[in-house]
Amino acid sequence: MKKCRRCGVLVEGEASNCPLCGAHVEEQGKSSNCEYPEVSVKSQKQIFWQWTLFISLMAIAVSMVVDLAVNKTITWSVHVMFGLALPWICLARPLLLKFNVRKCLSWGFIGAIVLLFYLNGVINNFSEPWAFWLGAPIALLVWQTALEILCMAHKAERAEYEMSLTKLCVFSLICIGISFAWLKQCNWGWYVCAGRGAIDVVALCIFAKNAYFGELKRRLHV
Amino acid sequence: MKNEMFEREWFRLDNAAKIYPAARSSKWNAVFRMAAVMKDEVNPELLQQALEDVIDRFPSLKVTLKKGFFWYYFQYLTDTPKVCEESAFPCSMMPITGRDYLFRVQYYSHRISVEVFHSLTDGTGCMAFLKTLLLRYCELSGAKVEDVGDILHYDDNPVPEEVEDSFSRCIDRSKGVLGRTEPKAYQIKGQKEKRGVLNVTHGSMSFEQLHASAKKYGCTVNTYLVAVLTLALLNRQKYEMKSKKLPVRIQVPINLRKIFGSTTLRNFAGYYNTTLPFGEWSFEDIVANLDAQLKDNITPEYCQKFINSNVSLEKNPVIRVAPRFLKTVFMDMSFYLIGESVMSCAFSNIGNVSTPDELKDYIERFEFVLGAQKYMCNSMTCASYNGNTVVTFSRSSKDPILEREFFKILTEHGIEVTVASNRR
Repeated sequence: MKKCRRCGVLVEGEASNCPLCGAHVEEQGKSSNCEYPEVSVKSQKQIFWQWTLFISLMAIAVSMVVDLAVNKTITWSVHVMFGLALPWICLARPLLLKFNVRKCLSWGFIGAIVLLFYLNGVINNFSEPWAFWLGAPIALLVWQTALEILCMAHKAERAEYEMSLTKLCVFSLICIGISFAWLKQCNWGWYVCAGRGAIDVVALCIFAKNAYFGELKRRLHV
Repeated sequence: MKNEMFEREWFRLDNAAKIYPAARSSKWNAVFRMAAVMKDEVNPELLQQALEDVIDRFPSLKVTLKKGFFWYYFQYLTDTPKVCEESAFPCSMMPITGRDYLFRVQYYSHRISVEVFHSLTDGTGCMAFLKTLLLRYCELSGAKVEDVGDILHYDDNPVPEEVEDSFSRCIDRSKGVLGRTEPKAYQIKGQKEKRGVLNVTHGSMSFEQLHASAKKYGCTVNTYLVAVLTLALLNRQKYEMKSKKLPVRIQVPINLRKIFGSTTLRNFAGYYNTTLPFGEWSFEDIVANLDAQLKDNITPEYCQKFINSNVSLEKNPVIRVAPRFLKTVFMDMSFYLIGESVMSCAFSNIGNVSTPDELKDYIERFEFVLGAQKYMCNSMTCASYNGNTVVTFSRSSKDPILEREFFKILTEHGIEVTVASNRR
């Protein structure tokens, strides 16, 4: 082992520089049991995603500055912000963080519903809320179908899919309540979603009673 | 007390465990490592066999983390955990998928390491598991051990006391709670490393030399190391020449098991923050001040109040009925405000690790590594074994500022230090 002249410590292993000050240690030490694997620090993929995020944020910032300078208020730059933020949050992020199929699907459908509401707001400022009474229920029905298929196909993850279906059923019921509070009536779309969710829950109660109630109890800490 | 772990397929997280899933992010989660450097190269087949033989002895580790509506919870796994060759930085992100174990057993060259997500257990629990694993591994390698001492034998059955939530058992609301209004502390702000990179520096030294030096200043080895760390931080702050000088605060964990008579292998640790205001301090004064702080404040009353504060918050009816995502936001904020921003560095000393004499022919030394902190750059740990003490610094910043200053002080005190790092 060689002593580092600057720090006064002995340097273990085959290091040619002192780990504390970086000074060159002339005599290489004997091999040590204290070894670590060599690890590459950063992949090209990470660098690509970081640049994509940076360019998106810059585009949003520049468009907002230009919009403010020209119109004295934020107008069209909202579309740029929405157009870049939504795909990033609902598509790129789940893929980047390696979400599983169920989570990717959920974020995809959430993104689709948000997009419908956004378009509804842009087109008629919610004077006719078609995104709520038509768009969202249709998206939810497709989402339920996808979850049902995956629930049957994906045995290992069945409990997770069952809980997702239950959440969609509860969500449909909440939307019926919102519909009555907002529009003073409820459209057939939400009744279909809630009814279908209820059928799923009843089917789970009959055919997978123990597993389903066991999972519910765990989730609720009962 | 009813023990849910022996009755159901799932169980609740203990009080200390709840903060870690909430504070985790896509870039960080709380992982620490206990490792043993063996005298011979590790045999992966024997290690896998040893792991399979001992894992049922530790039911609190055979779990994964799941999301409930109100809280996270642990669910038992039945798969056999697999050992793997170390290929990433120490304490790298533990994937919390709801399907995988929350610990990993790794090997590389002569080192066997156990990395654990902090919700599962604390340093004492992890060390108990590592020692049992090493006992079995050494036996499979040919060691004949007659008296296992304090090691939990893999053939014994787990007992309910080992898997209890001791925080809930030990709460006594009549003793009051702690007031927690500590201002911000000085922290070394170096250039951050890239995501996932952890720089680890081990400094090994003779326990005898360390003990003699501590004795010279009239304190324990633990207090001595805290004092050296405090002095290193004070020196650094002087060098930085910032107009606003902040106190140096070291977080020292307290093993609550001895105080409350617990044998749990889950989390049961508190902490005390030693504080020293910025100023011109001689080393003797620092030692005297810190020694008084540690002796006067770490008392059973303080520990009781610590438990009461934490458990009362958890049992608050408003917090209990709040959905998990709201709790997560609240706990993540408090993790920063009352957790990491008020301390300069975390220091954890696992103490002198004891093993049967037969194992000393197989094990060279023990190491303890804390993973990167979420907001803070540095942490320090210490483990002693067979007359050798290993002080380990882990940092998520580029420059080894703190360890350079720390080891410089030790060498000035006449202690011979041998350093090694995971970065070449």
